[in-house]
Amino acid sequence: MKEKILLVDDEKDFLDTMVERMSARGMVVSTAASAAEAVRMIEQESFDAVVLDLMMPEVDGLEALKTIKAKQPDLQIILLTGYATVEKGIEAMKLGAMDLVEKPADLKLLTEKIKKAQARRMIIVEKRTEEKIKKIITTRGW
Amino acid sequence: MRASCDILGETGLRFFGRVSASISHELKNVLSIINENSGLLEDLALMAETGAGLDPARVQTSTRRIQEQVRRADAIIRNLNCFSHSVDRANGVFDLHQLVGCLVALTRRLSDMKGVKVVHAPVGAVPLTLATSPFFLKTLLWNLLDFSMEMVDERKTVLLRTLAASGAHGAEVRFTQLATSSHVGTGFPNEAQAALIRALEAEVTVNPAEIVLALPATCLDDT
Repeated sequence: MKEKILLVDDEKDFLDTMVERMSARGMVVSTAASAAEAVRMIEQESFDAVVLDLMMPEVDGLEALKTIKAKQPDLQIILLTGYATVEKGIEAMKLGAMDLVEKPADLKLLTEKIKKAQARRMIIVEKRTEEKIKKIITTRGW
Repeated sequence: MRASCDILGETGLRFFGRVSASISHELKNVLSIINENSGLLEDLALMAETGAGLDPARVQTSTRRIQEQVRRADAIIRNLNCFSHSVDRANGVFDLHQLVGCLVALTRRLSDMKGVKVVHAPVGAVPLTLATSPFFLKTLLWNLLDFSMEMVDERKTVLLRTLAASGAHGAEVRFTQLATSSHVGTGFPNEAQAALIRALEAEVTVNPAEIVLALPATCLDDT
């Protein structure tokens, strides 16, 4: 199954090149050049994972992470950062980020993390579906 | 009360750290784009080896992106070098227009992060040569710019004008296009700004919609 990814970064050349490389690896990639655009997109579409730059103009990555997690708690978010300080990493994990990758990213490593994110999301979705079915069975008087 | 030299040292070091951190982040972004484009060229080469045709336009796009990023990194490092040399000596002779232009370029990412555009407009004769501490002046200018960015009007732009002045003042830097509301100037000057203003024997006036930094005529280099 193809991974559906939202890539968020304010560097257009970075986005364009990543789209080309990730698409060649079988992923379906959408892009957003700002945190605000990313938030709008996750409200309209569902993604397996969001790859989010930690340092962006106006709304930084951690703020964006909080907003996205508040809207879609199950969404898997991988943060991209210029410098992965321990404090930022811990803060990001506490806010619900799945992982943190330092720039320049190794695409092989990032792809592995994306696959892991998709698997996690599938487990969560399956669990939710199972719970819904159980609830229907127990509440309906068949 | 803390000694002025302690305040100046701490403020200067904090400014140096902030600029260095911002530049290192920007260089990481440049490296990321170069890294991905070299990876893309490798992908294209691997595809060509398997018999898939090689599209010259895709190769050209990637090499153009790499060349652009090399130019971008070169400009960043040139500005960083100019900034680093501003602490070589306590006082130096420099062109004010050039110093402000370099500061604006150096702090571009910091202003971008705030969603504010900073435009430098030199006015009048070039060069406007001054003899004072370039590092203290850059630190004060950044302090005022940072302060100005918090009070921009709906245009979200700070227009920085550098010009010669008359009378007791030798030169001015005007931070314009600020909001005219009453909160402009609230909390100014703080301890660091006051120490820098004293060290440079400068004057700062907060007017509606603008902040004016006036440097004394004694700063003008008449050699």
